[in-house]
Order: sequence, then structure tokens, then C-alpha cells
Amino acid sequence: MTKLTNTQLLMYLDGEADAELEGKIRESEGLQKRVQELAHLQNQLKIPLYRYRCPKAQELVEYQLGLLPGDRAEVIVNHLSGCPHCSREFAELHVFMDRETPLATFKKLVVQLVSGITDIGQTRLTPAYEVRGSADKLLIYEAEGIRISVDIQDDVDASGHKVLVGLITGMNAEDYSVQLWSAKNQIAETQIDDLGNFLISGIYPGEFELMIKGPEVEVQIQKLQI
Amino acid sequence: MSLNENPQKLPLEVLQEHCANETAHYWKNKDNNSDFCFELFRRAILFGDQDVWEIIYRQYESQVKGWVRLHQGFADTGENIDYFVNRAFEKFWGRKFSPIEFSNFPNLRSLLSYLKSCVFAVITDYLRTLELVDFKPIEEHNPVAYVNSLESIEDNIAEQMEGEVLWSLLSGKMKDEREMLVLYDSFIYGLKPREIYIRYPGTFESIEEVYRIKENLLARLRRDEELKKFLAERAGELE
Repeated sequence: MTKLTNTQLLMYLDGEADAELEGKIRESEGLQKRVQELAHLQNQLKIPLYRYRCPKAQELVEYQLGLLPGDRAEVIVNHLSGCPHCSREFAELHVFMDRETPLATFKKLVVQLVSGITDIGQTRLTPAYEVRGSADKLLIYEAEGIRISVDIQDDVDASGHKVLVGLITGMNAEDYSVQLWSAKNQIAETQIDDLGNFLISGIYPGEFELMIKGPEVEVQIQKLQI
Repeated sequence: MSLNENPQKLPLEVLQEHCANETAHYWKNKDNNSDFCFELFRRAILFGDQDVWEIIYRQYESQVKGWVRLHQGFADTGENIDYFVNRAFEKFWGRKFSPIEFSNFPNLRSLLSYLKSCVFAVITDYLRTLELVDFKPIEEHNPVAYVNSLESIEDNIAEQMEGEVLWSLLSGKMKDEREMLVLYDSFIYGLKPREIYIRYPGTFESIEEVYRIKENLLARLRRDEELKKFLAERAGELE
């Protein structure tokens, strides 16, 4: 009888097991039974819990269109900053809505390609191009299928300071870093994780430039008000 | 009938005709007046007039179909276009805007944007429901039946209440913040330990540590009498 821990069985369920572990589990009825029991327990918890706190998609769209009352909009902003699923859907919503007839009055901002010329997907970026961003706490920048969401929040660990929470979609940003500049001084630098998230905390409010730098392309967001 | 007439004073059939004509002009890039179509929406929304909604449906059905095709998740739903067209219109007229809320829509473009957003909402909610099917036992895998069963209680808060009750039961049994984090992200966000490890840099030593924490809390929960009772009652209610 092969002795395996539940951690190993959980890894198997997640597709994280190596070939040897997979083989052991496949060959053992006892282990398969344990795997099924673990899967069953997890599913019993997931069915009632999965995304139960997420707003309905209609609320996301009404938030995007500026139709929600302030208190409810605040709830959505907070939720978007933490929920990976809703923030993804929100980014998809912007792409979907911007293909035609956007309702919101967007603040025009400029993103410049400051160096490097590359193909992202099948699209060649041009040296300078306009993007749209909302004027609220959650700023959305986009160009050529790349979307950068920037959420400005109070820094709970530093009174009077802010936290910048960002999400990049539409490109593989794993090898990219994010720099925050103020008056030609670099204030902070951080990495982007493989889900496209980045975070810079302890920012004293002001006007900044956000640089997203990678092996193939650099993107600069100018006049970012924090 | 002159196009300079106040649309609010026009009979419905005239309004319908003008709206259709002006929409045709719009698509041909000719000068057009959107006031007539806007007035149709105004009457439908503020007076809940079903006849007007039917005119709007016929006028914009093909455009809404185009928006359904535009949604990047539409192909994953396995549903036909008409299903989502109907659901999007239902979503719009079920919203019942008050006169004050309606003032947020200054023109036809804003109303059509809302209609388009309804397309996004119905497809997105459908896709969310399909995700839940993955958690059902294999013998209960029937996406269409499952989605339909949830549609009937879409606006009901029962699902949310059940989640809240279970969460408060579980969260009270966590030993520390890291367990709470693993519990929350595993079951409310459905994330795997690898994703949780990446999401919280510096919080966990390794992916394996996240797995160990998850293993421990699951072992404890499996023995928990209160949870057993909750799950048994829930299973009984669903039968």
C-alpha cells in the first residue's frame, strides 16, 4: 500500500502531480477513493461559496456606465481590487463596450511607446497612440488589445499615502517591471506577477509617470494623478 | 408628417416609422435624427409599454445579435444567439428605471450602450453559472438543466445567504490569517495553491506550504460536526 499525504492527493487533483505520483494514484483503488473523497469535500464547499460575494455582471456594467449610486459604486471598486474574476470580467467589459458606442465620458490620456518596436500578438504598436481612461479611482488604459487597469486606494499602513494596484491584460507581462517616476526621479519599482498583477504602496499623492518595461516594449503612462 | 415635430406628441406608429427610417439613414452614413428612437425608449422605460418594447425589439434585434457575436465568451456558452438576444432585452426592460435614473440617458447612444451592456451581462452571468457546473458530481453534469434551474432564482438572494452562512461557519474555525486566506481564495475564488502563493508574495514560503495549510484545514473541516450537519441539511434540501 502506497503511503501518500493528502497534500500529494490535492496536488494530483490540481494537475500538479509529477508522472510518478500520477502513476501511483492511478494504480491504487484506495488512493483513487481518497482522491474522490477530497474532491467531493472541496466541491461541497465550492458550490455554495464560489463567487458568492461577486456582484452580478449587471452591477459591473452599471458601475462601468456610471449608473450606480456612490455607496454601491464604492463596494464595487473595493471588490474589483481583490477579486481576480471580476477584475478580469471588468477588463473584458471595457474591451466589449469600447468596440462601439462607449457611453462614459472618458478622460483622454496618452500612452507612448518610448522604445522598442515589437509585435504584440499580430498587432504592431505605433510610436504614440491615444488610449482611454475613466476619471474615477479605477483608471483604464488601453491600446491595441493591451489593457492596463490602475486602481488607487488609501494605504492602510501609511496614513495619507496611497496604494497603486494594477492589472495588465492582453499581453504576457511576466518579464515586465513597473516603475513609478516623479519629476525624473524613480520612486518605486516592482515586478508584475504571472497573472498580470502589480502593486506599489506608500505613495505620497502627486503627479507621476508609470513606466511598464519589458524585454520587447516599454509603455509610459504620463500625468498619472495619485 | 414633419421630422421637426415634437416626438413626444407623435402617435406610436408614426414614431416607429420615423425611428426605422432614421436608423436606416444612420447605417448609410446619412444625416439622421435619433430623437424618434429615443422617444420609443422613453415611452417603453417610463411607461412600461409592452407594445413599445416589441417595436424596440424588432428595430434593434439584428444589432443585438451582432453584439452577442462580439462577446468573446459567446462561443463557450453553447447557446444560440436568440437565447441571449431575448435575455438581453428582458434584462433591459426588467430593470425598470425611475424617471430620475432615466435622466442618466441623455441620448439614444447612451440607451443603446446600456442595451449592449445587457448583452455582456447575460452572457457573463451564463458563463459564471457554467463554471459552477464543474463542481457538480459527474452524474449531475448537465449544464443546460443547471443553468435553467438557477435562472429561475436569479434575482433571489438565497444563494448569497447560503454562501454567507457557510462562510461564517467556516471562517470561525480558522486558526490564523493565513488559513483564512487559503480558505477564502480556495473556495470563494476557486484558486489553486500555486495561484494563491503568487497572489500574496512573501506570505507563504512555498506552494507546498499553501498545500499543507489547505490539507490541514480540510482535515479539520472533514471532522467538524457542525459542517457535517450543514452539508447534510443542504443535501437534503436539494433532493
